[in-house]
Amino acid sequence: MERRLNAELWDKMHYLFRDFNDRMVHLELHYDYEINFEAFRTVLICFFEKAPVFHSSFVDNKVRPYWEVKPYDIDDAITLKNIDDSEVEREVDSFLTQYIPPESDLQMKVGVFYHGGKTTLCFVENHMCMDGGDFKYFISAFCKNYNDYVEHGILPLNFKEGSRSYESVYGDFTPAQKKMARNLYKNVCAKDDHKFPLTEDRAEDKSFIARRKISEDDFFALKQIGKKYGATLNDVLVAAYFDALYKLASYDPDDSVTISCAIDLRRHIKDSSEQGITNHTAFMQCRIPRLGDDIIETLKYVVNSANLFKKDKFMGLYGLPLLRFGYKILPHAVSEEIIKIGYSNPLLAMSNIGILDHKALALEGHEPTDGFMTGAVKYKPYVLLSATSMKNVITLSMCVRGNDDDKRIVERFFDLYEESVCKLKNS
Amino acid sequence: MNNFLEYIEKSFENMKETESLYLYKQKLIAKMTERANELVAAGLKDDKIICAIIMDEYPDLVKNYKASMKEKATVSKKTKTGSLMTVGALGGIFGAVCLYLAVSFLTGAWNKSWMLLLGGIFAVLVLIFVTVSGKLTKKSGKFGLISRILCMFAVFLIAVYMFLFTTVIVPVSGNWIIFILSVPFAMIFDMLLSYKFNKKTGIFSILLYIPVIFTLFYVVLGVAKVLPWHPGWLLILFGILVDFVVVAVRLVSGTKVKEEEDAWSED
Repeated sequence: MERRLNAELWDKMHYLFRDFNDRMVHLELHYDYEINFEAFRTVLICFFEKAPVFHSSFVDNKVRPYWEVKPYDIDDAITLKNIDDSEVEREVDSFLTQYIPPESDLQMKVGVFYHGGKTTLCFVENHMCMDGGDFKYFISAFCKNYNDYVEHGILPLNFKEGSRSYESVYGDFTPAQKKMARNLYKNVCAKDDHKFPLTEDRAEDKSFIARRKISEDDFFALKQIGKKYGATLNDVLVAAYFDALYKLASYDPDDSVTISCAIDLRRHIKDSSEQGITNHTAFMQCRIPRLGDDIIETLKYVVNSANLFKKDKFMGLYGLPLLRFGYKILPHAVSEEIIKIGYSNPLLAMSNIGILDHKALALEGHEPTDGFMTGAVKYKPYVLLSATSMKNVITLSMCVRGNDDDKRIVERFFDLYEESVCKLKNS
Repeated sequence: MNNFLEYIEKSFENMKETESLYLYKQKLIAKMTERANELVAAGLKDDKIICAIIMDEYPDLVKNYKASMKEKATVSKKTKTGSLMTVGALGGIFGAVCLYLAVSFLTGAWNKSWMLLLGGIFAVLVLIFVTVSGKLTKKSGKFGLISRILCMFAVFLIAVYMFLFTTVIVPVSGNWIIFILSVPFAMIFDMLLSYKFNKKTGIFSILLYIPVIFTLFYVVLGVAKVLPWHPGWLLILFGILVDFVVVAVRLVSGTKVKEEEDAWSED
């Protein structure tokens, strides 16, 4: 019998984002030993069974879309390869930049690359299934279940299950708060025309992921700077983003620029262990009135802008009722068109995915030697800077569908970003 | 396979074996076997895990069994009610036909007696419309579009019958007013029900309907010469005024929520 899952609000929204990005979330992890592939495969099947959305096909029904759970063979989801060390970068890049169509039977693809006694794991999943927050939970739970299974024979079924509804964010509110939150009808889209200076679309454009590391020393230095000026690490990273961007794109220093920063709405949920894997991400607009005379002034602008949002108890919940209303009153095909009119995708965005806990990601006692997670490949002129940290090393990444010139522009951006980090350190 | 059987038997060990329980168990075995085959096809090789996944999906077999029995009983009750309604409707129409023929043959007033037949058919239709509308509203918790249309149809059918009655049986001049009157009555009916069931959107129906209802009453009263056209038109203004009052009342209650919100934000 056909089994269906409800297409939740964020599933539909991410489906709508198909015009702006490829909707894939990427994760790369390196281990200094060869993992037990059979156990890995078993744990992955168990997780697919616990979260059937991973083996479901999205049906774009014009009235009410849904997920149709599909039978699958796990070997279609896993790519296992023995390669040389020299091939790792190429293989990983090629794997990570793949695209999984929403109507595909599988919504997650995993690459296991053995090379020189080491293993590199790559995960690509459809953002419609879950966001970075739950992806982090997924991989931590995966590693824990893998270890328990391999080391103690415990069945790998310890994975959260439950509702995927966006309404979970209201679950811990009092009835009065809930009523207020459900009435926050507001269009919170970014309205800023400043673009990242990528080239125009070309036939040879293809997806690439550019990365840059910020060393452990710099990481601590940035944290110190943050402390000194009452800023979070995210604020500091955004300030450096602004600083580098103004230079790269040659914006007028007196221009006001907005960067949309992803925020995890799970902050409103006290305990999400009873929720299913899903998306709970919204954006806050970090707007600076002008480029500061020095980077510290820019940082202060960022802090001021971020504080406006942080003070709000309903942070990130604006706009949800409007989207719900839009999707509820009309058939999906019509509501999509109407939402498209009111929705403007941010041209400049940042997602601080946060810490990838190396201890939680250890497999059989082997901590990952390196790794990062990054968001979807954006289509020009949209860009998203992702940041994750592991063992106090930050990995900045930007996924773009572009050409060699775009690659150079992004690399130049990272050079400028490093310069901004230096300025912050020395201030 | 043996694990499933053990699990099933153990779960029901304290229950008396009945035919329905036996059939339920057979169904479960078939379902679990199918699920196990799916997991094997997905690539799972460990029998223990296969069993654990399936048992996890059926955590309380006794509870499921009881729920399934209850559901069966409900379905059977619903089927019975449906059958009764169908029989009742057919019986009603049959009764109307019999009455029509009996009265017609006895009195020979064929030109009027057809109203009995029509009355029977209309009564059955009105009953069906109202029942279906009520059931849909109960099911969804909202007085939805289909329910609203059905209720309006019911009102218009009554109006049509009243018009025919006042034309064929007891002729009343100017009975066409019934058609105009049926509109505000349908609106009042719809407005009250939609406000009762659709708290948030019901207000829009009220605001839309009130001026129309007052205008139509003005026309009816004017035609019936109960109210002079002038200054009777003030009735329309009164309708608009009522709308303003409704908005004001709504705003005042909205302000109370806002005050509550402000107090909360000050924390």
